[in-house]
Amino acid sequence: MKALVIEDYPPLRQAMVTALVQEGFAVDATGDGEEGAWYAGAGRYDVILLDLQLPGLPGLEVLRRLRAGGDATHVLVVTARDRIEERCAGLDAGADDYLVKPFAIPELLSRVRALLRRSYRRKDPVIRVADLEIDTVHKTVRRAGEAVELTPREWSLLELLALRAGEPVSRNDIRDRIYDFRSEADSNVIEVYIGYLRRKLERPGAPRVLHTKRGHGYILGGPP
Amino acid sequence: MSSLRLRATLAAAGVASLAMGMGGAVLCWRVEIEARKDFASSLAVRIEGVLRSCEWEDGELEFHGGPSDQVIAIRDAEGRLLLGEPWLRAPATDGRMALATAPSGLRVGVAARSDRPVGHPGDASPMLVITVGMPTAPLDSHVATLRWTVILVCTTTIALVAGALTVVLRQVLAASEGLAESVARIDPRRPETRIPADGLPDDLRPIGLRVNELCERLERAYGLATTVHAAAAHELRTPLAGLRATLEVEMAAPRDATGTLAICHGIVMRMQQRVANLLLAARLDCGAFSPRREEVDVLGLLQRLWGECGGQAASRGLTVTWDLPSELIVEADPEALRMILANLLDNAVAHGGPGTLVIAGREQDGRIQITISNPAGSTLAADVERLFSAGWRRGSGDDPRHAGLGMTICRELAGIMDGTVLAQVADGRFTVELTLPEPGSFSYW
Repeated sequence: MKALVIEDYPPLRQAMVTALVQEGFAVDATGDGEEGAWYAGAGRYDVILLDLQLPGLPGLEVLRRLRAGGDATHVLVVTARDRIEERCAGLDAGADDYLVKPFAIPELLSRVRALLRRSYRRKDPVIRVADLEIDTVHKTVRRAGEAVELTPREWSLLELLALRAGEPVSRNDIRDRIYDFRSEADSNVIEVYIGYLRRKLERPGAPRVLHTKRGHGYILGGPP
Repeated sequence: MSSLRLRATLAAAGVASLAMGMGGAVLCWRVEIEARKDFASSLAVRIEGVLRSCEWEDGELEFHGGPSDQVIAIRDAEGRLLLGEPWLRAPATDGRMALATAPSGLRVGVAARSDRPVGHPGDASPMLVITVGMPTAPLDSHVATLRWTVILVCTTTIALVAGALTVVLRQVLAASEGLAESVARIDPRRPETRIPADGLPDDLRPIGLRVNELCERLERAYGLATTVHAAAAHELRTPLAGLRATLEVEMAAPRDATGTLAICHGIVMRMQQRVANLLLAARLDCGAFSPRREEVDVLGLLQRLWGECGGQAASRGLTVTWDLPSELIVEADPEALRMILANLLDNAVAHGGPGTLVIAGREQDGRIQITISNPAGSTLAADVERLFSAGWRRGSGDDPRHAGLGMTICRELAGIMDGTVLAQVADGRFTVELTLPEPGSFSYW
């Protein structure tokens, strides 16, 4: 999953980035509104964390530009503005959620996860594909009741495939969704990680859960 | 009796009653006097008629009759009754009218005259006293009718005057009542309502204008208080959020405790600066700040302050150039000067674009000038004066209420120390110039 953080206070921005990376996100971050609007338009993000008081371009204007351009990326406004009318203005401008500073990092992450589930039209934080059980809150994976240990990158890849279970996910999609701007990911790297994932998920004699559909991408669950 | 209209109406009715009552009484008195004079004149005419109707006939006095409503008595000089009613006697004072009552109970006005009727057989007619009485009932009735007429006219006039005064006063007081209602409608907590002063009479307009002026000042004061509270909340919330998030991230997955502590220390120092600004702003507002006067080494102070924010400057791509003599002393309050310079440096680092920050100082015309110049970044020339207004913060976009207080405090503190703070944007650079007195040159503060 990929997030964009637009926050002008460097220590807070860094803490949010660190927390999201630890959560398994690929994160781009900036402290400037104009630059943030460019990032949002150029990248494909699952969620955008947006401060309202920004140099360059105010956060509400960033949000209006996004929505006016037809961008449906979920936006979580993170701001010091706490008055009711300010919250309403933020939500009415197209924000999906609103969090007032100071906040607890666990709450921030929970709200981000909730927005992700909404993106993929899922209510249950535990995704079940055949006998595979993926807990998106506790970051645990079980195959037939047996725990599977994954690295953060493998987890990100599996979470993306699980959220879109039953449909093919192309390599481009994977690159756009789990790598940030600074990372250089080519098809080979993605294939390597798919290979790692297969080795950890598949069991001898058990049905395969991760399929490759030539020319389309990878499918978790369902027929190839 | 708290109603102004009621008081005015009662006062008007009282004055009208008093005036009309006194006028009516005087009128009645005068009318009665005139009626009695007329009555007395009638009596004199009757006496004259009696004289003409009396004559001596064969030594006897004969009276040929007169009006039926009169009674007469004619006596000789010795008071013997020659003719007429024995009960009718001349008044004690000659020429004056008196009252008498007949045995039948009839009240009459009486007048008498001594004269000599014609036709006496002797040498001369003897002097007789002719007394004539006329019933006073018509006079009394006439006077009573006049009195009641006057009372009725006065009462009616009083009522009419009171009514007219009430109407007039109602119209006159309507403007003041309207003004009172307008003032009562003003909500002290939201004084954005204004009184339409143009529609007020001349004598009430100053009140309306002054109330409007007070409302505007109150609104500005509330706005400033809201701005400052919002600024305080905002200025503290964001660093607090940074502090909390930094600590929670490190606690959740410890990685670099020393680095985290350094970040947190930086945040705390920034918060400390903000809190100091807020407290100082409060002290300046209520006049509780009393500056000291000491010689302060500007270069040493600037270097210490730069040491506190140099790290952040480096992270924002700012390098510093010093252009100060090794010895630059000003006479100032050390803490106030520290606050001014800390705010100016903090602003330069936080809001300036990447590039070179120039810190310069020199002595000129008996004053010390300290200038801090940095790339203007997003600061526009049009923003410069607004920087000194509490309630404005650069980059606030569509919400100007979030505001920094730093520049406002700088200007106020410098003013207290007989100094100035000026700012300008020119050639892409934002420059702030602080001017303070050099030692021994200050006038007073």
